[in-house]
Order: sequence, then C-alpha cells, then structure tokens
Amino acid sequence: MLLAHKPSDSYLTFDLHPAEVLVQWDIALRDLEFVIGLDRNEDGRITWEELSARRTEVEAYALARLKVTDAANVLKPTIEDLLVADHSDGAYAVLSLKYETQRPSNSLLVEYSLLFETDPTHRGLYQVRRGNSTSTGLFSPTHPQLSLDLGGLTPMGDTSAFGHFVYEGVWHIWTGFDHILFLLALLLPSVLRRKDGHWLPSDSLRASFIKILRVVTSFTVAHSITLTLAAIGWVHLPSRLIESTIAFSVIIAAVNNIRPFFTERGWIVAFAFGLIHGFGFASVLQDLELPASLLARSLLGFNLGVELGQLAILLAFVPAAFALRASMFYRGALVHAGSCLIGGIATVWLIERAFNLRILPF
Amino acid sequence: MKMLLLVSLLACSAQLVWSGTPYKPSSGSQVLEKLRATPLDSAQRELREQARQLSQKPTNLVLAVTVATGFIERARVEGDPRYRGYATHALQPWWDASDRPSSVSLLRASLLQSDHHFPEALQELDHLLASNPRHGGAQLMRANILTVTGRYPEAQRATIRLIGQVPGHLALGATALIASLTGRSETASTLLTTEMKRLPADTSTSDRVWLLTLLAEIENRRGNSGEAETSFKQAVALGTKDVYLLAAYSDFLLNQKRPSEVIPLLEDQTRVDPLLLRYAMAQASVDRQSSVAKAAIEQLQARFEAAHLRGDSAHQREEGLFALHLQQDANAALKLAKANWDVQKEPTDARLFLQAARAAQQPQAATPVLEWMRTNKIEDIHLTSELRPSSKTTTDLQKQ
Repeated sequence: MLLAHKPSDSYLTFDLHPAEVLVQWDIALRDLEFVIGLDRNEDGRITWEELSARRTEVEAYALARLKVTDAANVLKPTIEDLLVADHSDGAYAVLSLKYETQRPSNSLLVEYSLLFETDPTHRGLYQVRRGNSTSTGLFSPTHPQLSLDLGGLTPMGDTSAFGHFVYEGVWHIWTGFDHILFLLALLLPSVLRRKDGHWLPSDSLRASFIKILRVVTSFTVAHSITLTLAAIGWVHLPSRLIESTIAFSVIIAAVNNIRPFFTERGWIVAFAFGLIHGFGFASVLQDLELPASLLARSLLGFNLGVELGQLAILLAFVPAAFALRASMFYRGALVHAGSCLIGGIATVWLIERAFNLRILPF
Repeated sequence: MKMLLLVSLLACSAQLVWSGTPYKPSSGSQVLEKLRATPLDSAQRELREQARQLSQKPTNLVLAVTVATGFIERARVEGDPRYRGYATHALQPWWDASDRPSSVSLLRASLLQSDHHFPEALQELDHLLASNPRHGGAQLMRANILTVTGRYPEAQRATIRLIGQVPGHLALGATALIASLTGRSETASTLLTTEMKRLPADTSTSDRVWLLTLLAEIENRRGNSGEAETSFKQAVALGTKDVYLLAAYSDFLLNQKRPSEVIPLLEDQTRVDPLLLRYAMAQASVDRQSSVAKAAIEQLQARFEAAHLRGDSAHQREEGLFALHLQQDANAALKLAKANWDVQKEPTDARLFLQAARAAQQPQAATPVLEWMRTNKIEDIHLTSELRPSSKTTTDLQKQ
C-alpha cells in the first residue's frame, strides 16, 4: 500500500570558468505544466509547439527563481535556445544560461527557489564542474543557497591544464606495469655482454650507457609517433589487439634475456613494440576526454609526462644495475629468474586480454 | 590504469542523473510528454479551480483540506508524488502549528506514511486520537501502519476499535490481513470471501480493488495460486490502475515465471518506480541483453541516484530488489534489505531479506525474519521454501 516514486526535481549543472559560469538547467515539463500551464488544448499531451509558445513565460518564471549575485550585483544571464532533454521520468525543458562576472577572481552566490512556493518537497539537484573536479548537492527550502568559488581557476589550455596532462602521463607510466616490465626486461641485459652463451658483466659504463640510450630513445620515438597518430584520430586499432600485443611484447623481451635472439638489436625491438605501446597510451588520453581545441597541448603534456616518468625509472635502475652487474645475484637471480617471472606475468596478461578473462588482480 | 578506469566509472555513474542530452525537437507537433492517458476530467478541472482559489485565500481551512485531499488522491491514482508536494503546500499554514485541526493532522499523517516516516505518522495519529478518539479514518490508518511495521498485537487491538467507526468491509479487511499474518490465514480467507459476496452495491471501486488484492495475496501465501490468480484478475478487471495491485500481481506472475504477461500489464505504467522495477525484471527475465531491459535498468539506476541525492530512503525495498535481481549485487541487496526491514515488515520484505542473505552467503543475517516468522506463526509457502536447504540461492533472473 505504501510505495515510493520519483518526486519533483530539477537538474542543474554549473560549469565554472574564470570570468563566467555556464548553467544548464533542466526543469520537468510536468512541473511547468502545473505552475505555468503548457498543455493549451488540454489533451493531456505537451507538444514542442505548446512548449515553444510559452518560452518567454517559462524563462521568466525560472529566472525569477534563480538569483545569481556577485559581491554587489544581481547578474543577468544571456539565454541560449530553449531545448528539451529526456530524463528517467519524462521530458524536461533545458535552459542554457551564461553568467559573466565583472572581475575574474571572486565568488558568486546562487539562490534557488523554483517551485518551493507550490511544492515544498521539490529539490534542485546540482553538480558543479570546477576544472577537473565535480561536486554535487541539492537545493531545498531549508538550503536554498550555493556559493560558487571562482578563485584560482585558470582557463583550460593554460599552464594548469598542461600540467595536469604531464601529471597524467607520469602517473600512467608508473601505474602501467606492462610498460615498466617491457622496459625493464629490455634493459636488464644492457649492463651485460653476451659471450659463449653466457652473460658477462659489461666492461665499460659508456658501452652500457649507449645501449640504454638507444633502447630508450627508439621506444620513445616509436610510441610518440603512434600516440600522436591515434590522438588526432588518423589511426585506430581495436584495444583488445593493442593490449594483447603489449603483453606479447613483454614476453618477447623476457624470453630474449633467457634465450637471446636479438642481443645487440634490442633497440629495434624497442622501436617495433614502442609503436604498439603508443596506441596503449592514446587510449588513456581518450579516457581523459580532452577538448579538441587543446589537443596539441595536452598531447605534448601527456607525452612529456610519460618521458619524465620513464626517466625517473631509469635514474633508479641504471646506477643500481651497473653496480650489481658483476654479481651472481644480478646475472643469475635478477636476469634469469626475474625474466622468467616477467614472462610468466605477461603470459597471463596475454591470455586475459586475448580471451577477455580476469585472472590477475592488476 | 585500473585506478583511472575506476575513477572514470565512478564519475560516469554519479552523473547519470544529469545525463540527458539536450536536443531540439524536429517538429512542432512532436509530443514531448504525456501527462495523462485521458483529457482533463471535470474532477481534475474542479481541483485546479479550487487550488487557484486557495492560492488567493491560503488560510481557508475547509478549502485547504479539500485541495490537499484531492491532490493526495491524484498522487495515489497517478502514482505521481509531486501531488503530495502540492498537498503539503496546501496545508502549510497549519503544518507545524501545535493546535493543528484534526482534518490537517489526518492528512499530515497520510503524507508522512507515504514517505515511510511510520513512527512520525503514528505519533501524529496518536495526537489526533487523543483529542478525537472516535476518528474512524485515523483508527484505520493507525491499524494499517501497525500492520505494515509488523506490530500485530497492537494492530489487532486497533482493529477492534474500528468496528462501528468505519464501513464494515474496511474493518473486516484490516482484521483479515492481521489474521492472515498471525497463523489464521484460512479464517482470513473465509472471512474475505464471504464479505466479497455481500458487499453493498455502492462500495467504491478502490475499496473493492483493495479487498480483492488482499484476498489474492493471502491465497498466494497459502499456496492456492489458482484462487490468487482469480482474485487478481477480478481486481484488474475493475479497470483502475492501482499501483499496489499491479505491483502485487506482477510479483505473482514473476514468481510463476510468466514474465511475458507482466510486460503488457505495466508497459504504460513505468513512470511509477515500483512498476518500472517489475517491468525491468520482466524484460530482463525475457532477455537480459535486450535494449528495453537495459534502458529500463538504466532508468531505475538514475531514479535511485536522484533519490540518494535527495536523501530519500523510502525506496529501500525496491532498491534491494533491484540490487538482488537486476544487478546481482548480493551484498548491497542484503544491506538494503536489512535497512528496509527496520522500517517495514511485510511478507515481500521478509522474502527479499531471506533471498539477499542467502545470495550473500550470510543466511544468519536474516535471523530477525526467522524470529518474526516464528513469533507470529507466519503462513507463507514462499517464505517457507526459502528456508529449505535445497531451495536455490538465486532466482531465475540471476542465472541469466
């Protein structure tokens, strides 16, 4: 006998920018019908014609119940075309408003009173988008106010956005175990040389350094090429193929350390598979939903982040590897057992990715 | 990468509420919203006119009570809670007054119980009955709330006071319901069947629907599915789109594994959350991957999210059923079932709790249900079968 239903809500999105706030406000046609009357012919249906005919009244009614003020003034918004959106419980009128502020860094106060005078159970559900973060909340008769802080916001495309993508790049290489393992597997033998089927310590730091430089540079050049191609949308490969091939590349690099077949040509392998890893990076960039206008900047930032992250790993790895290269621990345990482990993990990844299974927790 | 994925998934799900994409309709004659199946009738016109008058004289008590009663009735018929908001507004001048009139108190209690604020509703009724002990409407509502919350001995005492205060068939319905939940369901069935045959000709359709639904549910609990179906069909044939009836009948059909019969029953009723839920369950058990099933599930998800944002918790039963049957999230279902059990204790709530506890592999979590069944001598073959060790832990829906 006692059942719950969807009550009256309006939905607001506040997009904060340094000198302006964009508001999308969705109001249920059922609510507007009650307070303004849209169904002119009273047939129980609201057509687009009927809504358009009352556009002025709808806007006037709504705007009188959303007061946006800065320090001193009530702001008048510019209003864009009236649109319609479907939500889970029916059709809504969509008001798109733009409030411009006088000074770049101040806060705005929003006071909401839509429908409270006819339906005290009405709520305004809002989300506030500020840079990359989103917060949510609601307007009610007891909490009708919201303060929007515009301080510290910089326009997208400015240094902060660039910095954000650099950060994402670093983060991605550090948390993307497959890329790290590929690189480590390729670099493990760089402080060694191959003689008569055995690994011996390399004599010169210079020789090791050149090897490492070659591998890392070709990996970087290769993944930068494909990352760019994929990000601007020129090349698109299915992600299952990309992810499986990345896993395969790790296996190849690991096997090579146990049964070498490209001893001195590691850089070629790094280049060839670097192309595929680049597509992997690009898919992350797509998840971040970068605006088209900022493509070049964000691409550059992300790539720079990947290289910085990579460099940090090298700075930790190379000195340690060079110091330990003569020890049995390095040549035996690390190179052999380590490569077996890396190869084993990558094999499971390959199976997971190729057959869409879930085995490992990472 | 996993972390990023998780973060973006969370971000996506939290924005379902705001996610409708704005568009410009292609033609002026495009219908955007159907308010009613039928044109405005004279009663609705009158209510609109009365509401207009009230806005000019908001302190006219008689008018306010008439308008609020009208809106509460519309909320019940259309399943649209915004009318309850309008009713609340009509009563605003007296809402918090300590000496509010009985007529306002009764409507306030009704609004509170609709939002599942049962203790507050009972308090309101006790307050009303203290000054007006022979108020039949308040007595009946009190008996119903006590029954829904599982306080049967008190409910029983309350129904005795109904005799002579409310029409005989309402008192009998309330008595039969309690009897059926306290080990006397055969008596309850006989009482109701006899009563149905001698109902006065002027008994309202909604009262008939209530009694028939009551009888159908009692027969269903006794395992007499044939008799249950006959009563459900008689009630549906009376032509009102009663939300409680449609939900109960749909549950009956879903339990009988007849989802394809639920779909036509609820197709044009999906604005009402509990009915959208049953509709989604039916579509999902026909084909979980169909676009209608997916769309219905997404709609439900968005409505639950909106309810969470509002801080509403009156939907815990529905959300528990949703988590259990449509999301296969046994732990979430158990949490919701448990919270729901603290609020209401109808056989549907008991079954949800048992099923969720079992699906979550924590059968001991549902001990309160077992105690409730034992103490009250609950007769319900569906609940009993949930307790059998051999009974399946999942419903058919979950297997798909």
